[in-house]
Amino acid sequence: MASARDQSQAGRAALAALCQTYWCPLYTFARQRGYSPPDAQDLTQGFFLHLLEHRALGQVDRLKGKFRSFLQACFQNYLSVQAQRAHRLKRGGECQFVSLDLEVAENRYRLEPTDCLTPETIFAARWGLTLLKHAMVVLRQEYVSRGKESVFDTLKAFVGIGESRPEASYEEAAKRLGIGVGTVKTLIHRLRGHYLAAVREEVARTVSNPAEIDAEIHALCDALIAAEGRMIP
Amino acid sequence: MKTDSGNAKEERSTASGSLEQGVRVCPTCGTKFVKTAESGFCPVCILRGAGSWDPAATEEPRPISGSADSAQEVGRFENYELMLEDDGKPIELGRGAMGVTYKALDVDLCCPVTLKVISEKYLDDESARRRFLREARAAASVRHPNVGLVLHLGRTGTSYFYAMEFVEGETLEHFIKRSGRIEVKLALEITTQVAAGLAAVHKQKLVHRDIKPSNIMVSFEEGGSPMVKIIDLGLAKLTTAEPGEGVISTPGVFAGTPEFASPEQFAGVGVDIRSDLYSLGVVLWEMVTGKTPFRGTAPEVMYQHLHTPFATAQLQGVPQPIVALLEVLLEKDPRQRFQNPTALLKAMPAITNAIDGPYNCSSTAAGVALSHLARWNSQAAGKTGTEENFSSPITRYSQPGFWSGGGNRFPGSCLGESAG
Repeated sequence: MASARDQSQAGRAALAALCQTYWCPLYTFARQRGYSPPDAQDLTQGFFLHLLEHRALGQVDRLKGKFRSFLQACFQNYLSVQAQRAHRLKRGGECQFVSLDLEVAENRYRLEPTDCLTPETIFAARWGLTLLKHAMVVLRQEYVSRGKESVFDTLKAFVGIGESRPEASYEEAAKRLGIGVGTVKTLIHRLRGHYLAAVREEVARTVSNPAEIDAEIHALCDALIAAEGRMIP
Repeated sequence: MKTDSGNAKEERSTASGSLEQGVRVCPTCGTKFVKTAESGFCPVCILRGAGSWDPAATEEPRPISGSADSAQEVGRFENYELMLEDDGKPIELGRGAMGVTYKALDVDLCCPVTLKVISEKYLDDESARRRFLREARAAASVRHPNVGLVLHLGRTGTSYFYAMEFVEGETLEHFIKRSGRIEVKLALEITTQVAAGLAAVHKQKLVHRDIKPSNIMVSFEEGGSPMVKIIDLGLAKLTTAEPGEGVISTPGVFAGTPEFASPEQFAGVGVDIRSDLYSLGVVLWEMVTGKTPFRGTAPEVMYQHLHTPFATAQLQGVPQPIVALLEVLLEKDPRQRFQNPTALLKAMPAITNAIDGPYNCSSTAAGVALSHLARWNSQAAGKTGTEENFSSPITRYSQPGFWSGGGNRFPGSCLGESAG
C-alpha cells in the first residue's frame, strides 16, 4: 500500500491495481445506498479519479491505515458530497480508469442481504470474498507460470480446511493427474499452504503495517460470519 | 441522482430464494457460506488459516500413528474421514496408552464425530477381541446426557476404531489450566454431573477406568449453567468380567492415567465403579486446588496413591464440606468410599448446602446439611449396587465435635458450633 501512496507513475499503477481488485465492494456499497446501477458505476469510477486527482492516498496515516477502512470512509464522504450536487456529472471524460464488469457486480449485489446487515458489514464481507478470490487468481498465475496449470485446476477444490470433499476424491484426482494418492495429498497440502500464504500477502497489501494483518483478518471473518452465507463469492 | 431502493429490494428478495440451495455450514467453524462451482470452501476458515499461517506449513504431512495402512493413509475409516488442521495434519484430540483420538467427519451425515483408533496389538487373540466387542457393545448401550455416546465400532486394516459423539466445549483439563482453580460451587456442579454420568455407566455394569479432566468435556449454556459429559469409554470394562480379564490391556501394562488412578488399579486387583469414584475425587481435588494430590514420576505417584495419607495441608482455603467429601472419595480402601455414584449423588445436595451456609461461623446450616448426610447414610446402607454392606465414613463427619476440630482434623474450624 505504501507504493500506492507514491504519486509517481509506479504509485499510480499500484493504485490502479488495487482499485481494479477492490472496486466491487465499493460498487455494492453504492448500490446499498440506493443508487441505480449506472449511477453506482459512475460514482465508483469517479471516486477512483478523485483519489488520484486529490492525492487522497497521501492522507493515509501509516499508523492507522487499513486500506479497506480508508477506502470506505473516503467513498462515504465522496457519496455525501456527490449527493449534494443536484445534477449528474460525467466523470473522467472518455477515459475509463478502471474496467468494471458491471454485470457480475450487479448480479452479486442482487443476491446480497438488505434487511439485517449494515452496508458497512456487507462492504467488509464483500471485501473479504474479493480478497480471497484475488489471492486464488494470483496463485493460479503462479502455478500456470510454472507449467502446473492442470495440478492447480484439479486440486483447487481441495483447498478448503477441514471440509469434506463430496464432489471429488483423492483417488479421482490421482487418476486425473496420473500420480499416486500419497502424492496428491502432498500436493494438496502444499497448494493449501501456498494459498494461505497468498491470502496473507493480499491482506498485507491492504494494510500499512504488518501488525495490522491479524486485526484485519479478524474483522473480515466477523463480517463473513455475520453475513451468514448470503453473499456469493 | 436517482435511487432505486424499491426495485432493487424486490429483485434481491426474488434472487435470494434460489441462493439458499448453495448455502453450506462449515463443519469446522459452523459458518454459513455459499458454495459455488468456482469456490467451494469456507472463507472464514481460509482467512483464519492465513492468520496463523507459517512457512513450515508446506512440509509433507506425517503418516497417521505411524501406520502404513492404506485406509489410514488417506484418513478414511469407513464413512468417517479425519479432519485436517490447516497444516494438513489430522486434528488430534488426545493420545493415550491404547491409541489416538481424532476429530473426524461422518461424510454421509456431514457431522463431526470423535474417532478413537485402537491398535490391534492390544487385541492380540480371539478371546480378547470377543471381550473387547462385548464391552464395546456395553459402552454403546450407555445413554445419558452426561456421557458422550459411542456410535460405531469398526475395523480398518490393522486397527479397530470407535466413533463417538463429538462433544462441543473444552476439556476440563483445559478449563482448569485456563482458570487456575475452579470456584467451589462450579466444581461441585461438575462433580455432580460426572457422578450422574457414572451412575449410567454403572447401570450397564461398566467401569470407566480413566476418569480424568481430559476425559471430561465442559460447555456452558446461555444462562451460564455448565453442561458436563464424560467422554472416551474406550477403556471401559465390564465389571462382570472374570478376574484377570484385562480386556484391552496388555498384561503388565497399566491401563489408565497414574495421577488419577485408584490404589486398586495399581494393585492389579479387580476394579469396580468405586475406582471411578476415587478418580473423580482426584479430579475434584485438582479443580479446587489447581493441582493433583500426588505428583512425580509414575512409580512415585503410584506409591503415593497406595500409601501416602490424605494430605489436608494441601487443602488450605478449601471449604470443609469439600475437604470431607474428598476424604471419603479418596479413601485407599474402596469399602470406605461411596459405594456407587448414586450414593454420591444423594450426598451432593447436602454438601452444596453446607457450603451455601455460613459454615465458618455460628450457624445451623452446616448442622442441617450434615444431618442430611447422616440420614442419607443410614438410608443408603444396604441399598447399594454392590454386594457389600457398608458403613460410610461420612457418618463420622456428622458426629458432634467433628467439625470443631475435636479430632484435630480441621483445627480452627468453628463448624462444631453449628453442627453440635
